[in-house]
Amino acid sequence: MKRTHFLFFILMAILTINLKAQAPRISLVLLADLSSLDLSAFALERNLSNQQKIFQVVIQPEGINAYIEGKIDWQASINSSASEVFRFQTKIFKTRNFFSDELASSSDLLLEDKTVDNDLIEEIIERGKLTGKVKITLRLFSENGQFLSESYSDIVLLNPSPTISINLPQEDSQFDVGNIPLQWTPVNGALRYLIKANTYSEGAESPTAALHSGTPIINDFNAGTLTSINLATVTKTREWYGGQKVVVIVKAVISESGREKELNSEPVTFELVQPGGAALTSKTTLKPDANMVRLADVLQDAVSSEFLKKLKDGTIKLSDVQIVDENNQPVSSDSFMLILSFLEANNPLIISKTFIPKP
Amino acid sequence: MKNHIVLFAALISFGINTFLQAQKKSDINAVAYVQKIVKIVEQRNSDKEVWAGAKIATPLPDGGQVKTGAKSLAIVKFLEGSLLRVRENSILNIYGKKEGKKVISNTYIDKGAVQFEVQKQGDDEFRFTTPTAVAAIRGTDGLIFCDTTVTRVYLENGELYIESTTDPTKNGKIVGGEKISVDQDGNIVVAALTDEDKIIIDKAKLQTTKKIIIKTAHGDVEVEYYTSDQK
Amino acid sequence: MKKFLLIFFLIALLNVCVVAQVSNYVSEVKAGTAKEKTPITITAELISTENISEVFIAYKAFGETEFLKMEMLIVGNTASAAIPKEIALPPYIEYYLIINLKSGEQQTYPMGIDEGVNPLQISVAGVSQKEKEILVLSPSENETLSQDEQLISVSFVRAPESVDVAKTKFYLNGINVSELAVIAGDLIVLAGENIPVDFDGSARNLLIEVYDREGNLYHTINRKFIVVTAEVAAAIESQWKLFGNLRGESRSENLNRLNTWYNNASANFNASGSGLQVSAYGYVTSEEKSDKQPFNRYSASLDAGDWLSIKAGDSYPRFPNLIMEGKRLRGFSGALNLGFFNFQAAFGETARDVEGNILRKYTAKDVILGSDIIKINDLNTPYAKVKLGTYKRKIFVVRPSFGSGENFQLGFSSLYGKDEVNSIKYGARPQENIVIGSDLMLAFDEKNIMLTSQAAISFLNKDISSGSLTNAQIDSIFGPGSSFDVDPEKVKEYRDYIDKFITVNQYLGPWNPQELASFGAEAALSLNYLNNNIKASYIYRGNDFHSFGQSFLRTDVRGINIVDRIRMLDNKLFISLGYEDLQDNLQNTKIATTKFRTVSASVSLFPRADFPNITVGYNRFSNSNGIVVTNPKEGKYAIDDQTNRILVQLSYDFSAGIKHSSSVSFTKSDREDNGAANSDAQFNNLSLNLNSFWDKDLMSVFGFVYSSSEISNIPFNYFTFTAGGRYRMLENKLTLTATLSPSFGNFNRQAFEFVADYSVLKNLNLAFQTRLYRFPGKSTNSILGLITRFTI
Repeated sequence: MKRTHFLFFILMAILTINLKAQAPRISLVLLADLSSLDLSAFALERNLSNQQKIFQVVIQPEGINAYIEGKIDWQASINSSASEVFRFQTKIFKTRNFFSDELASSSDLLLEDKTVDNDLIEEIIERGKLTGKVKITLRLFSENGQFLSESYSDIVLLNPSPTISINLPQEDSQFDVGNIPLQWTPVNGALRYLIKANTYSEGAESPTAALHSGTPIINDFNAGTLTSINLATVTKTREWYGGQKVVVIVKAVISESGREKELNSEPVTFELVQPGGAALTSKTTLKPDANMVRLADVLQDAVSSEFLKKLKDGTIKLSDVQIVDENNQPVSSDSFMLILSFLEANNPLIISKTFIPKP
Repeated sequence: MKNHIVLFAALISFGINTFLQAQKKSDINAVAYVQKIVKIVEQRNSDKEVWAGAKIATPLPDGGQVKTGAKSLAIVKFLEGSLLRVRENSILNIYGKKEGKKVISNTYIDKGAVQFEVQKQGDDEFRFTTPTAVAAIRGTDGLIFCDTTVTRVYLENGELYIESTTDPTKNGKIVGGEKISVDQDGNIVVAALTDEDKIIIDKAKLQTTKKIIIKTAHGDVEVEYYTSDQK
Repeated sequence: MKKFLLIFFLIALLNVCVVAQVSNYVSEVKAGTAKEKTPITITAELISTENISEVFIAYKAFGETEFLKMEMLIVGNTASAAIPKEIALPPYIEYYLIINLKSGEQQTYPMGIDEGVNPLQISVAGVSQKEKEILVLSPSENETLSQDEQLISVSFVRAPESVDVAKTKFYLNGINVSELAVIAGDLIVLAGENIPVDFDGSARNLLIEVYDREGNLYHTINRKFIVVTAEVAAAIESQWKLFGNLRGESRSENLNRLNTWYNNASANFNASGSGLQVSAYGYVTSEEKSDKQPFNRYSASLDAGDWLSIKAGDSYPRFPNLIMEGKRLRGFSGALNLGFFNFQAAFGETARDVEGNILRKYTAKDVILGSDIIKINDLNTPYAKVKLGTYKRKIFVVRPSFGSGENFQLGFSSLYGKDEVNSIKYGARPQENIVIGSDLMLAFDEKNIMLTSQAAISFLNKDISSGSLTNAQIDSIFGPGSSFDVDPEKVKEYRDYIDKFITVNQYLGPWNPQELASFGAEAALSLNYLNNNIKASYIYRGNDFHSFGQSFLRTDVRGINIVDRIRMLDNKLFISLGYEDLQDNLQNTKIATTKFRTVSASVSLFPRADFPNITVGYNRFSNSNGIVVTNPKEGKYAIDDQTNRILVQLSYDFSAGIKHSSSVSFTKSDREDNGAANSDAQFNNLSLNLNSFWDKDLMSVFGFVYSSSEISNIPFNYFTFTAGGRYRMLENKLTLTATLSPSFGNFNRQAFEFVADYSVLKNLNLAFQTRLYRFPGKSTNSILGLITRFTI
């Protein structure tokens, strides 16, 4: 039984090789996962330098005189019908493997003839990008016009753009170290999602900078195509613990003209719950300071929203601030409370509110 | 010793100054002057001139004008000692003359709010004129505010007589603790001051400004506000 | 007369007796000059102020029956008050002090007023006729003035004709300052800035001599006032205040048997005075690696009030967020705020060059297709698969703006960024970017109505390695018979013009700017009335919008966002409602348009009474692109998911023997994914916490967490107990904190954390931390660290 199988396999193999040796074959190899393409990729111009390679044409055997007829069909959307955008024919050349950027550019691969549907090209340019579905067909002919082989490929252009957004955790929420739901909006065409997260010390560094520096705690963890994950179960480069502030982003990896590109979500910050809360290590955990919240209400639009947030969330506490009067004399916290109550009750008596930010 | 030297040097320099410059004589015949300024206060000597930033001690002649900007305050003191606190967004015209021993002061308020503490002696006259009313004051203090359609006076102490500019037959009189309003049609309403009104008067008297600066690791905040002198 | 004298003596004697009476709280009472219709200042020196809660003064004018009361201002050991001028009438006034003690007791000064002891008296001098003629309008007696407010003004409006105004002499602390006087008719003023200030102390004695026309002294007036000199204020202000701290940390982390040491040190220095502020910051860490973006940080900055700021080194300049936000820049940034005209600029490097490396070389014949395959300088193997490096990227941003930002500001921004093509050898596709934008802010009614808006358009060249198109290239591509029937000379003209700003070749985009593909705009209106803070905004960001100043901008999205925050019941109840409706596919480049909708609501109650604080929140996120998952052609692109999330939090402080603080929180989120990804997810979390304060040094913590989650049908459930405490010792210099939290279930872990914080000196602090995480049957991870902080 097994032997018959084996024999059959060898037979097939020999047959294939023989076939190949006899009739020249053309095949089209596309860059993996083309979910979006620059229009420039199809600018088949002789003198354009630095064109990108989006496909490879493999012709076996090499050295035979032949020519290629090619066409590109475009379907504006998956459900619409296809129309031919571009058709070309090369001059007769000695068969060899080549890349897309050599077509119409390399001296042995010049075009004999080409037809372009300018109306369609204009429509595509108006969209700025190729959309829908593109079908590339290449047919190989012998020098006397006899059809030898054909190869084609479909490209579905999803054109993902960074509309990825994290739904959970919500900004400034708190989580137990074992249960940190991370959930984001899906991106059509994403090959995979990567997660990056790091702890940061508030005030010392911007959360986004923390993502780019050192060794992030979660460093491009591959979440596959899932759009929900528990961060607690993700591989980390370090341990994190209660009381720490964390910044996280999700990156959708897409392919743009065959290169992988990462689309970033906007960063979201959250906090790991410290058992015992603020009282245990008053230095790290935030609890809104009622008086600073009152101050925030008084200041309202006079300060940056970021600063306002810090006043409200407890980053800035009454115990941490220095309060002085117009003569730079310290104001006691009791006096400050009185002034605060006065300002709350007498908003119209405020002459000016000035904010001098510190980065 | 050092102090003596400083004093001595100061004396000498003043001595020299005295020789070099005589007492300056302004060609303005002042009826009032600007005593205090908070934020934006402008002044001109007659309505033909352009507005210029006012300074403390700026003398104001007969026909002089004072204008305050948003959140601003000007304190104007008259030569007989009366004091006006011109609150924000107000324009005050000043008129004054002397007839023998009698000092006649008049003000015209286009719009805004003015708190007054009038010091009167003998036959002195002190009047407020607004687009809708003329008020004569007898040694008193209170608050007057007006626009083109209505004039309101809150009187804390003393007496006030007011008449409509559109219809002088319509007039009224109030005493301390009362308020009066006169609209463009000459309608006059008198009522007692409520607690809220008294708070408004108190607020209009505020002239001291204070600042509080809150210094944090993320930025400094400076709040400037009006307060009563005690605070 | 004799009788009168006798009575007078008797009264005086009595008064002395009263004054001499011993008080535990008042050592001395002083009264200022008492003149008719002038406020009279009373000051009392207090003893043991810590026991005094408030001091009142009771006073009455001669002839009145009832005492009026007023609270005195306590500053340090001195209580002071000014008796109103209306009361200051001759011949005398009477007064006494009422001292309220913190214990609730009350005492008077002189003691025993209630038992019939006489109050204190001050005789009030009447105003002379001449004093009525010559009015010192400013300063008033004992007035305290700042140097700017210093003003001497005298009115002669009531003076007789015989007085010669111009002859009046002014002496300030004995110095003749008459030449500073400006005469304006019946008024003489001496203005603030000219009045000398170089006197000892702040007390001023003003002597005014008034002469008649014959030159005879007519009248003299004495007046005392106090000047808080600007020098004193300025001296305090200009005193350079220095502040700085040094921090060092050494940490050993053990993760899955792999041990890593982290060492870092930072220094922060800040000096301010004379309206200037200079700061420097440095941070060095063992994590800095040349093959990564920098982790060390250096910066120095200078601020002059709020009108000038200059920064060198690492900074995070903020421009309108379509232009630049949150991006680290190593270089220079600064802002000049002149009120109506302002200017802001930033220049420097946002990415440093990191060289790539060759993974595999290829001959020309066997090179394969791949985005990481580049041409290299090698004869036999001219191609290589490489790990692509990062180009050095420099950007330059400017923003002139008009308006102070109080009620109006109009700004124009432009960003230019370029990768340095030659900064690395093994790289691909260096880029170049231009963004031009404008922003507007309008505010009315004390910013209760505020409108903000911004718009920007971007151009990006995705590969500038070959430079701009050459003339030969243009000639061959354009013109009759070529692909594009456009006059090549025209194209060259355009190229030359655009090339001044950005490299012109086939990678320059967008190709369809008229379709707003690279346009971004947003506008927001916020209203703050009737305890409502409502903000509505609209955003539009084309799918090709790119700015080098922004790494995280969501593009290809447009829609609205409305949030209303309502304060009620005297700020005890807060309600927040939000709705967001966004969609993508703005330029019709996607298979389908996805709609992203978010609804949020929350209610918080802070009763400020013996009742728990409660917060309840709800969110709903839904994403859908309208494709049905069962569609054979498109089904695999279907997006259709909804997430509901509920949060309930209660916190309550109560006393049961000792003080406790407790909290309960519950969250549940549930994602139902009916799209192609079918990524269902559920998260539930319940946590309870109790902190007990046994005494001022000891606190204990108990906690319980139950958590269950299920992602794509894989459950993950656990519960955790936490027990721990904090103990302060050595007069609060040493704080020890320890917690033990074992978790059971799918999250199987035992955590032990111990932190010791020791203040060696007032400005030197050591913190030692040990954190052990044992995963039974797997490994034990640890963090051991020592942090030293030193404050200057």
